[in-house]
Amino acid sequence: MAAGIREKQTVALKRMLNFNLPPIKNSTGEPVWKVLIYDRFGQDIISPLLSVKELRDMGITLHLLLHSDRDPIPDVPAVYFVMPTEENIDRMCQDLRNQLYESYYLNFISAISRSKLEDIANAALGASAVTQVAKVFDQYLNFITLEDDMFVLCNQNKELISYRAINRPDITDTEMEAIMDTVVDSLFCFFVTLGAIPIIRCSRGTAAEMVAVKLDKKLRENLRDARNSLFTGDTLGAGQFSFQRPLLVLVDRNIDLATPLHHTWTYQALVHDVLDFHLNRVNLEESSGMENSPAGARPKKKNKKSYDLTPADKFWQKHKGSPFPEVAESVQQELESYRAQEDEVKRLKSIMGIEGEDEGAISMLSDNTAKLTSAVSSLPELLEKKRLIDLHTNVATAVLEHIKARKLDVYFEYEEKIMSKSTLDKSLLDMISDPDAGTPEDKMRLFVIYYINSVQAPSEADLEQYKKALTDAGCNLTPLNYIKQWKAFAKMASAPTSYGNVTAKPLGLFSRVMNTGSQFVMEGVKNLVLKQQNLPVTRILDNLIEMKSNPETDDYRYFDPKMLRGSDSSVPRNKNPFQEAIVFVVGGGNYIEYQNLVDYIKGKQGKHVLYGCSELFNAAQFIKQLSQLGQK
Amino acid sequence: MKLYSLSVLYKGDPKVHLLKAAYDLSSFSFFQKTSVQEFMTFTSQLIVERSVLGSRASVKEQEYLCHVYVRNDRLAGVVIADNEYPPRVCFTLLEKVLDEFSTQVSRTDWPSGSPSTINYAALDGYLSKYQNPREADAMTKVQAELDETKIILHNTMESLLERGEKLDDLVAKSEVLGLHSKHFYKTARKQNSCCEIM
Repeated sequence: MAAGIREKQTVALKRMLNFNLPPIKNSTGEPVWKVLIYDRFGQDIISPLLSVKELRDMGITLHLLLHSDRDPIPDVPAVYFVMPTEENIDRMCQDLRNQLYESYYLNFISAISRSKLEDIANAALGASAVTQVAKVFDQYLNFITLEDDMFVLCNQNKELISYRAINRPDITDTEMEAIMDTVVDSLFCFFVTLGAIPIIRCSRGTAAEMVAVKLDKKLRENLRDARNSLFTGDTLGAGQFSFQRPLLVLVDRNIDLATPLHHTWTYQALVHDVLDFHLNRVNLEESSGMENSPAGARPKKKNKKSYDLTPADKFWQKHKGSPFPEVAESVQQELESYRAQEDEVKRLKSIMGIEGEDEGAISMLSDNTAKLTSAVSSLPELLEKKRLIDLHTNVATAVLEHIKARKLDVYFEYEEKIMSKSTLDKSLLDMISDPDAGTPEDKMRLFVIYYINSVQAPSEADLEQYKKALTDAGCNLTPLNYIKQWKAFAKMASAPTSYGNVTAKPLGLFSRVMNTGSQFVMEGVKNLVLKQQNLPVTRILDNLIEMKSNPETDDYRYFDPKMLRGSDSSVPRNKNPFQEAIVFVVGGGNYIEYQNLVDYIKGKQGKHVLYGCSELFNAAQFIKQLSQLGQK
Repeated sequence: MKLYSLSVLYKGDPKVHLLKAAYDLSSFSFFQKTSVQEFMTFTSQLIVERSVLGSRASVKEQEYLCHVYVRNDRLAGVVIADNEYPPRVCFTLLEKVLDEFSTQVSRTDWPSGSPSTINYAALDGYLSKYQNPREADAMTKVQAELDETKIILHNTMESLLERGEKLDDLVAKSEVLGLHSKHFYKTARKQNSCCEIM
């Protein structure tokens, strides 16, 4: 897995856009102009990977949604990228009948069934358009890659496979089968794109186990099918030098409900928690701050701005896992270095103005020409840098406003103390009743984390007290019903040592930010430093990837689709530690876990980990699901 | 207010076995149901094992109350309910069910019976009917009789065990619990907590 999953999926998409031909290197001339038609699933897959400009570079002049009114464009080939649903097939047949385009390249995100294929064939025959249907492909791209090492299953219809959908008590067998099939289909596509067959480990008695069994079966069937196997040599790619197979760890969300609710302190996770962020796009509402508007007391106009946080954004890539004060300081530093460079360019401009006046200036000139050339050539880079600085200034400011208004630093510190079982300096009741700190939702999150982590459930009297305080603060108590039941059934949350201590450092990084008159006034916000500790999911990965013996994971089932006969054993046949792993959380994941895994694997030379989940939710969305589950 | 299970057992010597049971697991999620059902069976069996002939008892565990009635003829019944459900109604129900069972199923079948061989289908009906305890209002007469009988109250499962006996060993030896349930119990225990579904 030398290349990350993002690159592999992008390569697959580009190949598809090139009419499923391998790209010809050093091709001169313009690409063939074409139209791209997608459905919402296709749109979600493409948008984090290819920008509109990149699409243009590949010759896509127009990109449209399948279910929109489209005019005929008779002399252009059309590339379709859609899910093989009834609705989509019908629309495609209609397109064929209406003779919209010159030729049709049909690409299905996940495998199409035979009967639906026949439907299309019939429509093509009926429309006398058979020769126009140039290619029909199953792309096996039914997952969304967000980062080089992170993916989710889907964004549209994610309620169908949400945590709530899987864990609600009134689910029928057929509904559960359908959900599991959806998850397995996407995971299968993922491994086809990755070009590797994993060794699967999962916990028993959970949704993860059901996924593992089905995935193993599907991979096994595909391998045995000599005609159609998707895992033959050429799809594995020339760059595959690893002889080891990757490890797939399937975990269920229920092993750790505290992490999704945790208040966080790293940049990317914070952006996801407090701002509107999905599919790598953050939407901000900015007030343009028109304090001195001539009309007097006019409300501040709110602009909506969207930013894409992409791999090309160097600042983001460097700092998305950093603690927030570090981010604030780094933005400041970038701004300063940008100003220095800008000044340099300005200086050179003014120097050019004195040419010819001085003999010495002539020799300086050639020097300066060189400098100027370099300055000019670095201009686009400089402009880009400015754009990014502005972007991150806006984003970080928005985050900071939330932190200050809700006192998120206090919550973060308190929760870390709860999770690491250290002594609490303030009572929980005080935290909940404090009117200045946090929204009702923040308080609910805090209380649920406390409840999950308490060894003994609080006494009836205490519980009543807490409930009253929460209700007074405006909280909705329904999530608690579900959590009580979950706790009564589940294993106890992480062992006491798994969350570390958090110390509030009084000065250090902070003072620099304060002294340089930065706009990031973090006054009153604690400068908290994260101590690296492993979350439950990371712990499980550690045990399995290093083949450590641990009661928590010893009982995990072992599947190897390449073995001739499956077995129900937990004994791994492969005794060596793995180099590559994929951790997949059935029931939903978040950026906190992702960041924790990234930090963990950094400490291991030569090892890689990918993180995937059936859906990505932030704490607010998760509390909502818990609330729905808790309603009787 | 909820009933989770209703079971009829035979207190043989020395082993207790399950004759027939009904479960209402609708409040548990898909993947919890099997384990929960197994644990309920295990608990019912254990309680009957540790109860004396001709006794009634209520065993409290966390959010659940297990009510047991062991008759002198070795037929026993267990109801697992939540903390809110009135215990009196449970005992009325047990009395009624065991009476009916003993008339419908011949005594000779009891010592060797199992859920697949015993022919008694009314348990599911009773379990769902009695979800609403007001169904028992008609039984005031039996209730009055019951008031006089003594009901032993145990605060935890542990008080049922003999000296030196450990719940862990019983779980490990149990034939009723599947591998997964046993493992789950083991790890929950190791992390210093009670097996909390009971």
